Amino acid sequence: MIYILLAILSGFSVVISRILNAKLSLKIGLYQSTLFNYITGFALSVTLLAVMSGNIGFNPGVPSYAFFGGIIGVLVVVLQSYVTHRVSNYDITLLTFIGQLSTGVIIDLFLGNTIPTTKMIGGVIIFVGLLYNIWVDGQDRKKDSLPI
Amino acid sequence: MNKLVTALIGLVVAVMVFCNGVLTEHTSLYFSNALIHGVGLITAIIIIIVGKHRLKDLQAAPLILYTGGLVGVVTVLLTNFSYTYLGVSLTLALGQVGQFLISLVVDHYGWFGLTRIPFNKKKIVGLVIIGLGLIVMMFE
Repeated sequence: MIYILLAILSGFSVVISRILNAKLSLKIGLYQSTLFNYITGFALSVTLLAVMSGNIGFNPGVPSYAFFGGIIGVLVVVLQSYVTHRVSNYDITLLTFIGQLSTGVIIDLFLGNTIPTTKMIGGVIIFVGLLYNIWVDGQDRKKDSLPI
Repeated sequence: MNKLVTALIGLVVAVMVFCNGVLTEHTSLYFSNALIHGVGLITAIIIIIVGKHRLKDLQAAPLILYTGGLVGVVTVLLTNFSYTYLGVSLTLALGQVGQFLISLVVDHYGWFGLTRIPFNKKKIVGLVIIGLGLIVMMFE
């Protein structure tokens, strides 16, 4: 199903853009690389909007918090760089994973988003698989830090 | 404290996917994308000005590194598209699967000049479990 595949692909692009931005920030600075991230991103967005002749304009009843996403995006970039050299890679993976999913579930429940049963069951199984692999990473870490 | 901040990143990302998704539902995929980047651009500009951060040695970085923002557009479009059908938690869970998969490949081959971390065969179990979950999701 296309939505599933594309959501997975978003994970690819997240990692790739994160690596590119991190390397850029090493050369020109954290906030500077963030700025260029948005300069190029905005330029492409506008181009796509024109090329795809997307609908411009708002449907009635846009809540104001809908606009916060753009600001929060910048916050995410800054926070990620802040913790990158202060918290282990493993802890970052585990903690953001738990933080994301617990918040996501709360939001979905709060909204009364009815998720189809098979999607929910599949999601739980995926969660178990991801958690297991994070645990494997944790075991590897312990192995590395055992005194000889 | 830093670990708390790290967990907070997860919370913030979930809220972000939600806000962006809601915006997309009230506008269109490409318009919301432009708005999101526009707001982000203004925010980034304000940070640079207020923090008096200098823009220098821009030519020191190879051009390819400046394409991160273009890839970011892909992320926003994909998560917004998926959100409208899957909601927040599933979009994030699947995104995590994607991140996990690409990280395995990038680490194993040491791409982008990163340290080579060979694939740990124990993770095949986790991959099988994830694959099962994906198959279950395919059913109506």
